[in-house]
Amino acid sequence: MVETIINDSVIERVSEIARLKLSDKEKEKFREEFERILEEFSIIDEIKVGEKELYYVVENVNVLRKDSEPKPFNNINRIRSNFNKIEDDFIVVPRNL
Amino acid sequence: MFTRDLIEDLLSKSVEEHLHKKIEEIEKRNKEINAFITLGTEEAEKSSKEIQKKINNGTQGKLSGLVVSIKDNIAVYNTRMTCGSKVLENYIAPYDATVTNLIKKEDGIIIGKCNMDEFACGSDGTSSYFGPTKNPRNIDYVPGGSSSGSAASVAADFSDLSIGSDTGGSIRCPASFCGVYGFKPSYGLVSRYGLSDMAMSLEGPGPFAKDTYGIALLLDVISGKDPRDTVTVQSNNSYLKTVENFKDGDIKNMKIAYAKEFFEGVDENIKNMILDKIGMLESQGARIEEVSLPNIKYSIPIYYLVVFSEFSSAMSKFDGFKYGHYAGGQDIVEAVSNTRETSMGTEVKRRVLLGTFITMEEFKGRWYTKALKARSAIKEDFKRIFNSYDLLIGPTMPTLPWKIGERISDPLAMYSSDILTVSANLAGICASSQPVGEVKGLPVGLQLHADSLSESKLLKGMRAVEIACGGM
Repeated sequence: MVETIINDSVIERVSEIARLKLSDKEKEKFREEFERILEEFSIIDEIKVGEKELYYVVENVNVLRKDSEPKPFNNINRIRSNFNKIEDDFIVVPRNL
Repeated sequence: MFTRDLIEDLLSKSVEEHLHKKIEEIEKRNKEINAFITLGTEEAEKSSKEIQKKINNGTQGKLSGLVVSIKDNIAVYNTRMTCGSKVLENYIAPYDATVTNLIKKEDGIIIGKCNMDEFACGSDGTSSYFGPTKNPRNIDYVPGGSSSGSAASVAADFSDLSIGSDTGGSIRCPASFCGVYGFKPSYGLVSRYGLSDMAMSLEGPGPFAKDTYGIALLLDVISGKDPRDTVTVQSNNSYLKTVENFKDGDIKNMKIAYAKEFFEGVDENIKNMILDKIGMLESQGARIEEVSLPNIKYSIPIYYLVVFSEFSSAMSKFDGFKYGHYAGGQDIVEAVSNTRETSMGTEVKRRVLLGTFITMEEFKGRWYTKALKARSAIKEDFKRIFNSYDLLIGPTMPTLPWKIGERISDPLAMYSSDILTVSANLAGICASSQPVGEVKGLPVGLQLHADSLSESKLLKGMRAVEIACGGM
């Protein structure tokens, strides 16, 4: 059983946190789908799990580089040319109130 | 061996002519099949001339002018990289991915960027913003996904080899549906630098080819330690030798397991065909035994819960300011929300929202953390098997390819088609798919699994199956 009932206000909050605007029709469609999907996924409750959370299957995850000044990317202009709007060396974005 | 003979041909004949034959095929059939999002014909012609010169001097690299296509979530310098999405419709890659760089160094000719499910979110190749890819074997059917264009381009003879990426079957599924060879390397064997991945702990690039030889050749080229991807490990880079040195009698030393869980709910025709191949291997001397993988039935929810979480986090960088589609708005929050609303497809939105939901503070323990704990159980299942066996054998897909449009509206039906492929990614082991026959005119793929970094064993198994099926 899914004890997490996904109501309208939960969908509203998810849409806000995800920075993804949804129409009312989409909200209703996704709400219904998510309940169905999570209902089916709740069979994971049957597995006897230990305490270990397996994020990565390999050991060498957090390898640190030497603490020296990294070399800058050699083709900054090619990166910059993908920017939508720039002024001098800044990316232009709308006001952040 | 097909690819070996092709290389010999290229060395004695003309690389440029070979490339032109591919381009002709593309011009004839790509409009219908839609395997490419961006073609790089001009650049390819330029490199074919350079490679021809090298061949004349005897200084050519390992790929000797073979034509390679690359999935559109892997960067090729100065070439558009869309990830199959409107989000990145006009994004130009500022650098080469490590795999791209290695292919260029070994004189592969890059012909173009392959169509794919949007941000790799799909199992049948129909969710691309640039239209569905069609199965070259029968254009009414799906090619499988998410590396749809990679498999289709090899099946349709648009390229000799291809690079895809596999998060939960995205190489093996289309390889199976299109009737070509596909290989998912162990996590960490191939660098992910320059790959825009769907789920970082599960995904990695891997090769497509027309035979085991082609897979091993390309794996030699792309595998190995890369300082730009810290999870990578050393490769022995002698996979091709392993395949070349394989002798018919080597099959007698193989211990192969099959699990009944990998046959549950599988189409009867597919099941019988795979069991028939298992029988052939046994009659040639392989030791075959039945084992049990009790947690496989939980692999779909575990896999998707991890994917949703990692994907929603990875997608947060697409805000429209730095690159990609931009819709604008009164303030930053509105601008980002509008941008994402108007550029992401339905399955991408579904996964972003679900991933956000299951990682929210109050729901995290119930879903995400629990999935991570359960992931250990899947890894343990495989560890137990590979303590006693070299390989695990079974079908790649539970069904034949379906007709285009058939499953697009039901996410659970789409997810369920990944049941036989996702557990390899959860455990980080290597796995392959290769064609072993046809049912109703549609290809059937046989899947092999081997332990993490046991690529040589896996390739030997593939070669044994290839020979058992009458391959040269």
